[in-house]
Amino acid sequence: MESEILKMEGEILKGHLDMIVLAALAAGPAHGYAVIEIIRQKSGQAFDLPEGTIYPALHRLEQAGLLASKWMVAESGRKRRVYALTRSGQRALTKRRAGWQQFSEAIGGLLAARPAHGETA
Amino acid sequence: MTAEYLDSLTEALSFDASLARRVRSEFEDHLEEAIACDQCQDRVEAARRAIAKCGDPRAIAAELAVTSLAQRSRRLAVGIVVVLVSVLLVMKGRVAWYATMQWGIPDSVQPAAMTLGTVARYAFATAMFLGMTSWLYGSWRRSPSAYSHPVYFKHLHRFCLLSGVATAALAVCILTDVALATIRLEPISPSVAFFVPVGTIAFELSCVIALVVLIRSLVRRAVLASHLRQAQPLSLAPNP
Repeated sequence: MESEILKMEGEILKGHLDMIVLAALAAGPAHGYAVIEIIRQKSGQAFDLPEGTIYPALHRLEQAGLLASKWMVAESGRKRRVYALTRSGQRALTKRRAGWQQFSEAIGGLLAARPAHGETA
Repeated sequence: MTAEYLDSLTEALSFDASLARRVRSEFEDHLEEAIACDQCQDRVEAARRAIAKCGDPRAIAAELAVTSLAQRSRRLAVGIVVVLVSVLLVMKGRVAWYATMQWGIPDSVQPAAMTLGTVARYAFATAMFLGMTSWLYGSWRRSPSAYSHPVYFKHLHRFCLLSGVATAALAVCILTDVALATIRLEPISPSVAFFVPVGTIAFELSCVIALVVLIRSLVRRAVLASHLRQAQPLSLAPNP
């Protein structure tokens, strides 16, 4: 039962992965590992994603023009790919935030609703 | 241990060498960072954990394959439209040049020329219809995020088929035009003015060759990536 719930949550999460990645990059450019850390921290450890899933999402968003990336040299001397939101990415994030806000309010309203007087739950 | 993992990832991405190089470098940095941040003193254990957190390299490659092939198929779709429009304009220009130069078709070969003309028109109409359909189909859904690997491959198969048939129809049209131009120019003594029909036909043929190369490259990459179909999709289940 628990695995079914986790699977369902995984599917829900997959549907919002692009928005999550865009939101993680809203604060500024970051490399893949940092994006995962931001998601983990900002979600209160709830979204501890398999780390390999982030890179296909980053590549997909870059191709869609929502992210731009370039190679940089880290302090450690390692070469790393750093991703940043483009203007289209910022616009897309604003739009998705507004959409999510409406959606969560609607769901919140439904879940908070008590059965009307005389109705059975 | 990390080298083995990176080798598996590079091998799974063999359908796109430049993507494989880039992803390898990204994962190399990722794993190094993950090992460095791990509290565990045992570096081997830290590497094992970092690799386990990344997931199956074939599943990662399968998701990247969808993005990579989708980008190439969009390029091909745009290429088909550009070629069709260019060939149409060049053909119109050549016909106008024939009229200017008063290069008609000899009466003795009129019936054959009419048949060839009909074939060329129908072949071009078919190429245009299928090319536009393939462009619409290939550009449909800009983001491939909604696709799973097997579903995307069905989409790609149909797109390649449409593009291939459109290109074949265009090749028939151009070859028929070559035959018509030969009939028309055969009785005329060669001059500099021949450059226009010869040059435009050469341009059209090179456009078709370019499309064939693009389709072949896309199909080759798709075939190389097709073994990733068996990979289990990456699970996104969050921590319980």
